[in-house]
Amino acid sequence: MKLLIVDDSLIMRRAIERSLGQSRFTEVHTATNGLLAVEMFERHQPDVVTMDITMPDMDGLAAVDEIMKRNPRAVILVVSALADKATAVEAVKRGAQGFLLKPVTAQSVQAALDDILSD
Amino acid sequence: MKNPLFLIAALRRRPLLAWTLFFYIPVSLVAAVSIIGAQRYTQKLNAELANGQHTVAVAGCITAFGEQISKSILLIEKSVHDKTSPGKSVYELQVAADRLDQTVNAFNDGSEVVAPDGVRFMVDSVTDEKALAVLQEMNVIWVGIKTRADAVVLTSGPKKQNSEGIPFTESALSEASSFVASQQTRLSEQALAFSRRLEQLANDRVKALETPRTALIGVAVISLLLLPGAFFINRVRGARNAAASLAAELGASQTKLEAQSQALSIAKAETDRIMETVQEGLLLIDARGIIGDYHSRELTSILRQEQLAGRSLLGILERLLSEKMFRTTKDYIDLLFDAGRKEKAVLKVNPLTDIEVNFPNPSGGFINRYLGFSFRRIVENGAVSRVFVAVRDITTQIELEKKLRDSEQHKDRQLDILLGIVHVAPDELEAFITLVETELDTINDTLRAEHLVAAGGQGEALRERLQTVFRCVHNLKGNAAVLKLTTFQKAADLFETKLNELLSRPVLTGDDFLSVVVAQAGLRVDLGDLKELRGKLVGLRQPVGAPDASAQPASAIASPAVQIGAGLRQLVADAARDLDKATTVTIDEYALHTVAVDRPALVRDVLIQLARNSLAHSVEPAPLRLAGGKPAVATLSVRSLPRSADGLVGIAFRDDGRGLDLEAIRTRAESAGLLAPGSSHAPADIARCIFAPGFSTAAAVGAHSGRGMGMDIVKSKVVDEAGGVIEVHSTPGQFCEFHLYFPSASAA
Repeated sequence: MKLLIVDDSLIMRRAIERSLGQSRFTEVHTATNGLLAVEMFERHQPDVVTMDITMPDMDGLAAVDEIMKRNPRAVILVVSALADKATAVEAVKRGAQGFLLKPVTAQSVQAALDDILSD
Repeated sequence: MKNPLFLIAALRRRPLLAWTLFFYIPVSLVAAVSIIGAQRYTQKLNAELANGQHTVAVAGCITAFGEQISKSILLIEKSVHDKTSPGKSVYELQVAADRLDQTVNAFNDGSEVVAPDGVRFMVDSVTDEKALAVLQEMNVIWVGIKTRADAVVLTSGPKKQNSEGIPFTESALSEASSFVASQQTRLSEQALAFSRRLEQLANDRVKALETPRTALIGVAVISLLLLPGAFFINRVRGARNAAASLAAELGASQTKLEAQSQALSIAKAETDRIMETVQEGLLLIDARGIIGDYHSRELTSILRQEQLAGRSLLGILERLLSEKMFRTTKDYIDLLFDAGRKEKAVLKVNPLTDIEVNFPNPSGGFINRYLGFSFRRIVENGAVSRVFVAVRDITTQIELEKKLRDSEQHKDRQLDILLGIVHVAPDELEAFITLVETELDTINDTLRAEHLVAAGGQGEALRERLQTVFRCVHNLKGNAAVLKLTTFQKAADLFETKLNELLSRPVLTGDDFLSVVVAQAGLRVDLGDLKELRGKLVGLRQPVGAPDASAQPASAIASPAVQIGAGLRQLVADAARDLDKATTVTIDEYALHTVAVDRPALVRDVLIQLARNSLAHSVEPAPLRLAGGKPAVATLSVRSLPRSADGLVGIAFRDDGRGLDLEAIRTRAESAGLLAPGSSHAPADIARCIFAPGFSTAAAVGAHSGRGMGMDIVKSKVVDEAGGVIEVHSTPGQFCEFHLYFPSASAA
């Protein structure tokens, strides 16, 4: 399985990557903004995308739009802070299937990925 | 074994077939057979009746023939006696005798005879004993009569006149006549008896036929009556059964309905009780957000509204939520009803788990509550027909959480303060507390309601007050930095941010001061904590501090100048590290003493601001200094100044940084309206601008600069408060030096 981690923060990317452990993902790609995320998505066709919202160049919501336009079956897990409920609702409205609360822990990442891949 | 049972079962199920097979067909057959039988018997009966009548008639003829014989013989005797021709009497006698003989023989042996009405018919030989006995009697009588009659015919018949035969004498005739006459009577009696017997026999035979015939007719009549009767009864019974079973079915379904409705009403009552008592707002909404007919009673008290059924939940929320939150809520409810979205994903982003709402208070203002909503879809035929909503008032919970968080934060702050003050000398701490108290009092006084009201509407007056507050906070911040009391430093910095934000507003109103009052109160809480901790710390320090005090009296009773010097060194070291500008400080402590002895706090405050100002604005980063041919490490110095002409004592504060950038100051001052733009200004006028409130040339606000308040404090302290004088000397690129002169109490 392939995973694409989209986050402008190196710390967050590392945190998510580390949380995966010995997991099902054979390929993990990263992108630091929405534009790169769309490009990486087209190139690698990942099974799951974790998407930060606040990013330079193209934000997460716009990236969700672009990715859903390219593949309506894309599986996107939005990473967002608790306070940012409006954004989470907006992301689900635009087609994201999952929601991962910041700050992330190994357990929360695993649980969110299990959840999104189970159905 | 199985088949008959099966058949019975089948017939039970089909009663009409059973009736047909076991009743209608047999009874119809019986009816048919008995009708045919009755017909046969009727024919037989008719035949028997006719036969009997003929037989009796024939038997009756015996008497008649006997009388004829007797009469004929008498006539013959008379003719013989009269010697006349017997005429046809002989013939008649012969015929009568022949007929009687035939008749008697017929009864004896059975043969065909001719009835008196001319009908020929068969007579059966008599078998009945009684009749037979009578017949024997008649036979005997007849043989006697026949012998006489034959003799008479033979002798006196007309055809025998000329034939040979025994001539009938008169006497013989007479004897024959009397014999026949006597026998004829007997014959008549016997014939009568015989005929009666025959009649009786015929009657018996008829009767024997009549009984079965009547029985058959009866059977036929009964059968024929039974068929429609049974049919009718069956019909009636069927109808009655059908009616009964229909009634039973109706009754059963009625009972079932009653039981169901009872169960329903029990369930309804239970639901109602739950809905009445549950401490949660429970409701159903449809895709338009309309609340269903049933909801828990608690909902009305949670939403503070009656008559909720049929109203729009969104409409109610629209008035309670912020516009942005309402838009999100609307989107969210659309997501809930969109069956294409996974419920799990949708439920996870519930934006209404803990929302702050403002209910209008009947007695004015608003009531602030927190509500927690949870949602579940109700899916029917693959579509989300309704959404189940549970609402709880979680205000208490949220408040408790907030209290807990506040108390944790408070603890953290206290710990910060504690860690901050352990290394601060008690007298320094004391001085800091006094300073904070003074500044807060000043702020408080400045913000006093009546003062604000007095200044109401006058933006400039309000602005001035804010600037006063700013100076207090900024001074507090500088002192906190000297003592490394980061909690106060940060709090003061936040306070400054707020003030700055207010100052940048074009129009100020009294309401804008609310946040200032709140920030001030926060600082006061910190001050309270500081005092409390100081008290505790004194208790800790006492046993250790006492011998120290005797061993090193100098440090315990350090002079204000030494304290200020130490503080200044510390501040510069910290700021230099933070700003990455290596700097040393040289302090003439005696010089410091001459000005600080009368006003240690003021001098300390002023030097703090000057040092911060130098480091922020004047001292260049090391590479720049090296490029400018200066030593990498900058120097700040405090030295004495000769008394002024007015007898003021003075100190100089100098840095070897880039000095005043007059061009930058001019540009900034022009844009701030301090200098008329475009015209030329004397350097002194330009330099003066740095003391204007809110003036700063720094591009960004930082912990050490940028508020533009530092020099304002210096000016207000030295000039306004202490009645002193400030001189500024600067060579661009070389140095900047401030000369501070104070009136000397000791000198006076």
